[in-house]
Amino acid sequence: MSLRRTIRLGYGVVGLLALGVAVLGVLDWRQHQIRAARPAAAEDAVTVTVTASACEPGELEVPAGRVAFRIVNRSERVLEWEILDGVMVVEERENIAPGLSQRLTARLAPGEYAITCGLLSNPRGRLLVRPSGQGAAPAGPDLRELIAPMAEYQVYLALQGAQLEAATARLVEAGSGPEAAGALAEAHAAYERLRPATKLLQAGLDAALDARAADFAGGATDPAFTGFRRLALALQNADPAAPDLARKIRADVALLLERLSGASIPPDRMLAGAALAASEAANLGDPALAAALLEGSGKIVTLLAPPLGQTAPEPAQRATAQLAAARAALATGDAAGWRSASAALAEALSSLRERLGAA
Amino acid sequence: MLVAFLILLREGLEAALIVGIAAGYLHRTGRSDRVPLVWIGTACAALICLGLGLSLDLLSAEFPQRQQELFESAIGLLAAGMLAGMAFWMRRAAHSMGKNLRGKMEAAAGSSAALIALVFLAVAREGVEAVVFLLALMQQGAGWSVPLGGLLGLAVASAVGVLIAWGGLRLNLGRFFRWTGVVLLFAAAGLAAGALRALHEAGLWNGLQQLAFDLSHILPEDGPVGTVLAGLFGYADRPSLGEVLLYLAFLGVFLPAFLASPQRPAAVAGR
Repeated sequence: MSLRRTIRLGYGVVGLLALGVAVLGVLDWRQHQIRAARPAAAEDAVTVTVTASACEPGELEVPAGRVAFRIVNRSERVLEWEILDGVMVVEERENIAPGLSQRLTARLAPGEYAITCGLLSNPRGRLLVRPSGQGAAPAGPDLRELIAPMAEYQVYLALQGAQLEAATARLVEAGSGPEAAGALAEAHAAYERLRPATKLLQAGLDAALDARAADFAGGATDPAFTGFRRLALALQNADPAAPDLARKIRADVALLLERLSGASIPPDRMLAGAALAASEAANLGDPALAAALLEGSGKIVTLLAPPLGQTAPEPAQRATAQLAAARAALATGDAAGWRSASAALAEALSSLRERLGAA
Repeated sequence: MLVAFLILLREGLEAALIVGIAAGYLHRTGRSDRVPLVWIGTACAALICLGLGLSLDLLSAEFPQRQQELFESAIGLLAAGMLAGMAFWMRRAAHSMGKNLRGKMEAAAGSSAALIALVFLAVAREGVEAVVFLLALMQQGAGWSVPLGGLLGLAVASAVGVLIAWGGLRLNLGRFFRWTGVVLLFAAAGLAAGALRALHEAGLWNGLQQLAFDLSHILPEDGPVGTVLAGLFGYADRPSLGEVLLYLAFLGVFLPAFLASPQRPAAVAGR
């Protein structure tokens, strides 16, 4: 019967395979003995030790290209180790038993990655891959192409500065009258549009204009607390100090604009400022201020994403997409939506900045 | 060592479930003569995995993770489909058997080839992971207790497979088909969800990655109970939203359809 023959054939195949595996096993065993006899070659792998609560080291820097990792599990649990780019798994190794280690070889492009460190509640580690400078790494952006966006950003700052100046003039004029609240909102929003430039370059004036009560030891009544938020409180409480506060704002704004005029902001600072503004928008509850912050950092995205996208297409596209998502969420009043999109935008801007450093 | 034992128990259980049910099924449908084919398929897959692992070790190469995950994902989806198909097919078979003893069974004879292919693939899928793990143990000379723990895990998994097959023999026929069918559907849903995870780990699927729930402190996946649940039903302690949705959708579609089918106790009674 053919079934019996099939089964016999099957046993034959199993026998042959067993023989093959036995031969391989002997060969492998002998090779291990040979390897063990030789002095250990220099270990070229990057060692990451995962303890019960974190990775050691928590921050790694490796050259782009082929990188070997040795993951040592010093925790009590079975480990799964992953290199992540956003939510995308770039490489991973499963089933690393406690006390043991596993090797993983990955081919990594320059950029910033996250590494998992055991339990979900443990902080993730950072893996920075710097360009190796050996042909394989993509060339950095052509700096000449960034001159035009820098100039255009200067023009934008000048225009927004003029709006801010006009708005603060109206604010002083309104005093503590009925129009003060509207003028204040307008001036504050105009200021937030400049935030990517001011927050990094003029930190002192930025604190005078846009600090929060919580930033001061004395809280809302601290004499050093000035600026838009202080004025808002004063207007709410019919505080007689309101006109003085408005005048102080106008003086600070004038000083700020004077310092900013003619300042040429390098692309690295533009991206850093835009990332800061976007992450601040992610933490704001006021949609008007968040919209203004996003407009300010969005200007930088629209200026820099096209030239930088030539060498770093992924973060550039991500930034553009997240900006659009944040704007759409703002338009529909979806607070959770604009917050998460703004946070993602900040992250994309940071990776874009990282790639700029590759130049 | 307990950890090695549990890891290989999990990998082994996933395969043993399918092998055990396939063997039990062949027995119950009067095709015991084909059961050796199941063992042959199992042995071939296990040996091929072992050979693959040894060759890679010989060449000092690593298992290409992406390809391994893609392979796991493809087999997982295939196996999920086949398991669901098997559940429904067995129900039909039980129904026809009530009326006409084993006559109609022969109509489905060709499917035993599919059954053996499934066994082969299921063992190959789990075998790859088990071999990766065992090789790492051997390479680090972790002493004899660790690989021994792993082999014990495999032995227990095989014993469970035999128990499933044997249990299938002891159970009343109609009940056997009904319960194995339900178990198969749960296992298939777990396989489908696991296939989605493997697709994510291969870098291909990145949607719906929000954490659905985190039970890793209550019922950790690498603890004894979690291991058994993971092995049999694809339990994960920190699944992504996509995995949970797929699991529920799979059960939501197939389980009602399966349970709503006519059980026909009358057909058995009216012999």
